[in-house]
Amino acid sequence: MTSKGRILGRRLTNLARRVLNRARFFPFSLLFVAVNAAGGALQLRRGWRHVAVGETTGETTALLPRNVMLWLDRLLAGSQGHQFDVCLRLPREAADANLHDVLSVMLAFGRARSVGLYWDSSSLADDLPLWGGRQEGSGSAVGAAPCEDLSSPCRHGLEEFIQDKHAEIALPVLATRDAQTFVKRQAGGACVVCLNVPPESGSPAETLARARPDVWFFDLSPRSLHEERAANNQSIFDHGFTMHERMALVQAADAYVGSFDEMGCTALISGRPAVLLGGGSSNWTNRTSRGEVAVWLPGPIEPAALVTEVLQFLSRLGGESTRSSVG
Amino acid sequence: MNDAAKPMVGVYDFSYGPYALGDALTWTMNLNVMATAAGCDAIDQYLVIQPTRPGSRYQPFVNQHNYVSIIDNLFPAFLCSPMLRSLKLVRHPPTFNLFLLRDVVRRRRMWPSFFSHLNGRLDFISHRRINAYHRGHGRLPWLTAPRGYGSWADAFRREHCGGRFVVALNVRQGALSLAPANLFRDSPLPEWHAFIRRAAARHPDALFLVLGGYTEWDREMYRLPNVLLPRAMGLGLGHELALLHRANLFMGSSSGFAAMATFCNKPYFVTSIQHLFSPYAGVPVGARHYPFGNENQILHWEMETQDVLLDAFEELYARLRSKPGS
Repeated sequence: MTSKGRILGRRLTNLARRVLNRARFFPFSLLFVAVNAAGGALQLRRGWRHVAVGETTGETTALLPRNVMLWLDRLLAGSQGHQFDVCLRLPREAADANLHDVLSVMLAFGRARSVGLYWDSSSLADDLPLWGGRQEGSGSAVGAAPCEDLSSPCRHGLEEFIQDKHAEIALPVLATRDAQTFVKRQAGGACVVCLNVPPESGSPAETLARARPDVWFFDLSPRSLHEERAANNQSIFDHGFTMHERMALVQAADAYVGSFDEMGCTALISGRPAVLLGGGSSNWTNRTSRGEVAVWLPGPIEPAALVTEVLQFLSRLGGESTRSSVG
Repeated sequence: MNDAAKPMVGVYDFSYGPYALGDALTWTMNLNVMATAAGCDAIDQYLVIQPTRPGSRYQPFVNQHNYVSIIDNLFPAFLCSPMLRSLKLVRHPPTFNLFLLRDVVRRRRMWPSFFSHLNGRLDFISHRRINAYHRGHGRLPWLTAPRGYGSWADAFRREHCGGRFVVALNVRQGALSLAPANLFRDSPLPEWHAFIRRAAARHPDALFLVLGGYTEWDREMYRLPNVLLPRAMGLGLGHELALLHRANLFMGSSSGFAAMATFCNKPYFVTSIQHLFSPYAGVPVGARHYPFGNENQILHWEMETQDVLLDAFEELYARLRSKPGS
């Protein structure tokens, strides 16, 4: 078939689809479903569909949103622009109430298309052939399909994430707009740092704010409420932000200092300079750096040492927006 | 859930189903009831969105640029069935239609039926099936806390509520929501403020959890005694639904959270019920209870006042506090 004929054929098919899609009543809708399913089956046969399968085996799921983010970032950065469907096998009883966060991080990847959550292996195995012809990932198995263990990524995987190129995240436009407006209204043109320091590393926000009055700090951590604070140290924990809104805020800021969780991942994926804390085993001590713009301190750190580390990091960045130097 | 489970398939296609908390919960309850009636022991849910046309004609404000936020905010409502085995959020019609035809060929129980789905028909409002099941069996398969949030809610109660009498409370404020609609259904906030002040003074052990989106309650709530605001504590809808499930009592306007209280068998006092809802609920206007409701599950069909709220609270408080283990 000539290219003109192919284009005409595609246009006719699209037109027919649109007409049938508008006519949502029997028998036209049946025709639509049949044509649509046939198209889906054809895509499956040709191997045009891609599915990524992950599972978490233990009941401890505190880091699951972060681990899902690391996994999707690695998959999508390493693939050639096609869309993925994502399936997760989850424990029926989880110790951490964060399933909503897991979905939110998956929806943040524009190329992660449909999502399947399963609390039963046989059901997942039954569905997999219809999700896609190619399963991406490696590791243990759910049914006959290869799948990624998301319980605890190894240190090597985390270090790779800091060094690697990343996939794009596409947050909802409203979240991005609101975050940019918020930052603009509060901080104007000042350099903005998002703080999300885990409790075991103390509360460095006030010390940092007094040491760097030229920098505006947004503090996401909960314990900073009702404390006396400098004008450039603003707690936003009680602002009721959703996961997407917090991610958008990290994107809108100039740098990030805090946990190596989904916010830390967002900072790195978005090309923001970052000091990442914890997020691995407590006996990991050696730091990992990516140039001068990303530092990971996996082990415990004294509050005073953290303040020194962050001030050095900020001095390397300078006071102006640093986004162009990273990426 | 074992490999030999007999599943029921539930389809919520947003091209004809609304993005709304109450409707999502009513749909889940209907699905529970139909699965139980059919002898199914597992539920596979499909949430279907066509990204280029993500909303129904009744919600024209939903478009391809904002639907991700909307479904993300609503998602925990679909986790409330205890029989839930899988949940698929499908954003690719060919994929969904393959699953659909497979389930039709396998003659799996499905709601809406295949034919209703083809015609874009979904009765997501009425209690018809729920009432019928209750008439026949004298019980209902209730909703539960969203999957994965129940134990967290128990821990929250231990840490923040002690042994207090916890009242989950939601005052409908469509005017303050991100997508204002049907503002005539909003409740009078000053009446609720006054009620909370009076109730807290008379019953200091009562603790009010004010539920709803961060924009949907006013600043005055911060100043009221015995009030906790979960959204200002970094929590979301999943946490709120779980807290409601673990509360001693729900009080609020007829809206999404009231549907959760209704279908998870909590004691409740629901106000401002629209009269046109009466035929869908299967009760006459003014009825004090749903057909499946008990003496601690009270309906109020008019706009509430602080006196009405206080009377209802004290009636329920006295009865529930006297129960062992409350």
